[in-house]
Amino acid sequence: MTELLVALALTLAALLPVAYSFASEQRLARSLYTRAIAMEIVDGETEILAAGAWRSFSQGPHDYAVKAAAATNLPPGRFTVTVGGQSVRLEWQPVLKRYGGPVSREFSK
Amino acid sequence: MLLEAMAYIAILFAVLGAGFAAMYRCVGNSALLRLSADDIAVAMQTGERWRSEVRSARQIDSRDDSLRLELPRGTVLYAFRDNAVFRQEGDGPAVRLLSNVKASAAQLHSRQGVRVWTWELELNPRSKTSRIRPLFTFMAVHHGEAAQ
Repeated sequence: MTELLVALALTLAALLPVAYSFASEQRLARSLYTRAIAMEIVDGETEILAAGAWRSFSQGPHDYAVKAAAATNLPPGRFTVTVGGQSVRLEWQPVLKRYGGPVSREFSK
Repeated sequence: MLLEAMAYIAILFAVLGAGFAAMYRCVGNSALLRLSADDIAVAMQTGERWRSEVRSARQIDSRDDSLRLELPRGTVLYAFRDNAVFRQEGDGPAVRLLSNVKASAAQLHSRQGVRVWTWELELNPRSKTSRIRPLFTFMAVHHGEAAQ
């Protein structure tokens, strides 16, 4: 019986890292998807701001409202537009870690 | 001794059965994950191409499930039908860019005086148990004529 228990323990010890690696791959795929849609939204919104929409914001940081349907798949976080003296910066900052990380774009006025 | 051997055989079969079930499930999930990753990559490439063409279009005409772009080098038509997105250059063949598409719609908006085309794209999830709707939003500023 001891041999059986040892064999089962060895099997479990070998299988657990494999199972973890699959779960880890799924998390990575989700994180990359989240980053991809965040980048796509920030790129599109930056293009709109650069085309002249930035003029509706005063100097300093402001929350930026995004209506993109894909934004519903983003984790909790905020879009911020910061109007500086020479440039304008749009940033996506997720609250949680491991969800694609922040994305920012900047352009000269 | 015989009882012990039979118990070992029964346990061996149980462990092997569970192991094979787990392996087949992992193989299936891995294949779905790869398909989903491919879908996302192709959708992003298609979206970037669409944005680039919208930016350079002189005129854009939207009808039902299609978008006709008048580019300097000719006409390009993006159409959504049969759960796929097609792209057709001039009188050339329609090329399937995306399959497994659930919904696709492009709309023109005005944002602080800027004309913006937004393409909302939704793919069918590969996994039936997926909790995420694969949504993509592409936006591009149109500098050409205002016709729709």
